[in-house]
Amino acid sequence: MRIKISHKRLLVNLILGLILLFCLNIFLGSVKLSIKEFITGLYDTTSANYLIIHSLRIPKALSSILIGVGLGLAGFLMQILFRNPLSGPYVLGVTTGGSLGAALFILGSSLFSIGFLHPKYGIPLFSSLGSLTVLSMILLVYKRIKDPMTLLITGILFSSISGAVISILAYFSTAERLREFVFWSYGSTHLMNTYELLILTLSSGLCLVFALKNSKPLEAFLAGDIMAKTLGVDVDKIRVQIILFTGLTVGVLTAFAGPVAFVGLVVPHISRQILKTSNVQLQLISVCLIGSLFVLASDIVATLPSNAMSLPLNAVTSIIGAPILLFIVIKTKRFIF
Amino acid sequence: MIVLDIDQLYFDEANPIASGLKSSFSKGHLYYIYGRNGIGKTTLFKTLAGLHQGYKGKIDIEKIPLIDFSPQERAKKIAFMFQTETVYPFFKVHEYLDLANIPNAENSIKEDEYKLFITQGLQLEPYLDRYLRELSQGQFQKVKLATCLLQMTDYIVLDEPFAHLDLIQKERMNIFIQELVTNRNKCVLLSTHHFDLNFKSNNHTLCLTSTQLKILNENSKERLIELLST
Repeated sequence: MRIKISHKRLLVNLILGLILLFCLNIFLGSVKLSIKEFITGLYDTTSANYLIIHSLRIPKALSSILIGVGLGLAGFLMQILFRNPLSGPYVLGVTTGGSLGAALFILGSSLFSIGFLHPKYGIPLFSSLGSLTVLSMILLVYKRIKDPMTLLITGILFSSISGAVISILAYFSTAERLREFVFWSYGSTHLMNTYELLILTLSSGLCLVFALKNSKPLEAFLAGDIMAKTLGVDVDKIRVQIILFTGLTVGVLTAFAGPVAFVGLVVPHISRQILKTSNVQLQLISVCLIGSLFVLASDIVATLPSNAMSLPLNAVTSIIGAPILLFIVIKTKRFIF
Repeated sequence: MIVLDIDQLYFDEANPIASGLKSSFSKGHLYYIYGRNGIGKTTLFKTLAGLHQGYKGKIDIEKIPLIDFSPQERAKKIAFMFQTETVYPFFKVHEYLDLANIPNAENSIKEDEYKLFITQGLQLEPYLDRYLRELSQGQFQKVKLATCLLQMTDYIVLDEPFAHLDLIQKERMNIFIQELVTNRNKCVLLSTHHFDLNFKSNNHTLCLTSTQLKILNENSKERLIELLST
């Protein structure tokens, strides 16, 4: 892949920014550390801060990166699939399907006798099942009606149905269960163990490998459906693969981190504006880096206000993401795709 | 050779567009196809390029049925220049031209020589590093033609390639296509509404009506108008 010097410089800056924010994310937290304490805590196993940094903060920073990579990639691929700048991981209804699964477990546990499962396993399991169910239904619809616009509307319909069922479950739920579900729906980068991080790495990694491997057909997609078909791209096959990989990635992310808003929508737009290229490989790398930076920064903002608590990640990503998107629209006078 | 034997061409079976289309197209020949607006030229071209399956009958490319080709194998055999679709605005001209390599990932030096021949022939060099959105419609038309030709197929289907071109560019492009057909042994099918094109011995005029794809024995404007009026 030939990369222009300006693009190389940009990628280097993004990598440096990522390193900086990663360190800052580990440095900041509810327990305030001096720089000396932070540095000794990084390597000195006898230090009291070693555990805080290695068991809590590094996994939290890593999960922020993985969420950013996964959602950024999913949004990027969705926008190519639908040729629609407002597409994001939410549009297929997979996220809401995951939320429905989690709601069934948290809110419906008293109704369906599933309380024997520990929430740590039950929520991701049910959330994954919810996402997979919606994903399967979407694939079935696409198999019958091979039209991206219909698929977009189908996704919105699935989201509405899932949202309605969640409302009914919430209506009949106890206050305590409702509170638990609301907290889950805020999205979080916290308390992920090595096993969970590995699953996130695998799902986002597979999505990235798929996209890199198909970067040329995806470039043809950017030139339009007819162009892609003329160039011998098996358009239907690639579409099904995009749905499958993004659906699985978003499903897994929702299962472990809850629904995280705006990342998948705003990150591809930022990447397009700064790169201004049709090179999909380059855009994929940039989407991964910007996605990581975005969630790391949001997570830092979320932990800033007080020692005792942190803001909901979902709210922070929206508060940061919306003005960025607004700025892009004002600058370019339209959404570019 | 492409052998076309279509009993019925349709969007859905209840709404046929044309019927009884029989013809064959050989390498080293250029076919100008005329027809009234909406008669089905673009649909016929999409069908020939394997992008439209709404037909009864058969299309063979070098004795192999078109439906037996995989998308990639088909793209190595036949290229299609279509009328404008909305294009992603951050495509630079050279990046758009590079898309033509997708079906032939294994292309080597020969491709670079051919690429130079095409870009020079169509006078694209001054704006290779410009974004597509910065081009006029006529310039974009030439870029689309170049991308189609760079696919390096033996059979080329061009849907109204002279649209948006000024008189001089139109004539230059016509001559360039004629030379490509003669010197590189290509088979080109080209739809147009222009009657005033320079004509050569290996060029043929065809008229598409709802009941036939008629080959005119001589390049007669009067006969063509007569057919178009029916």
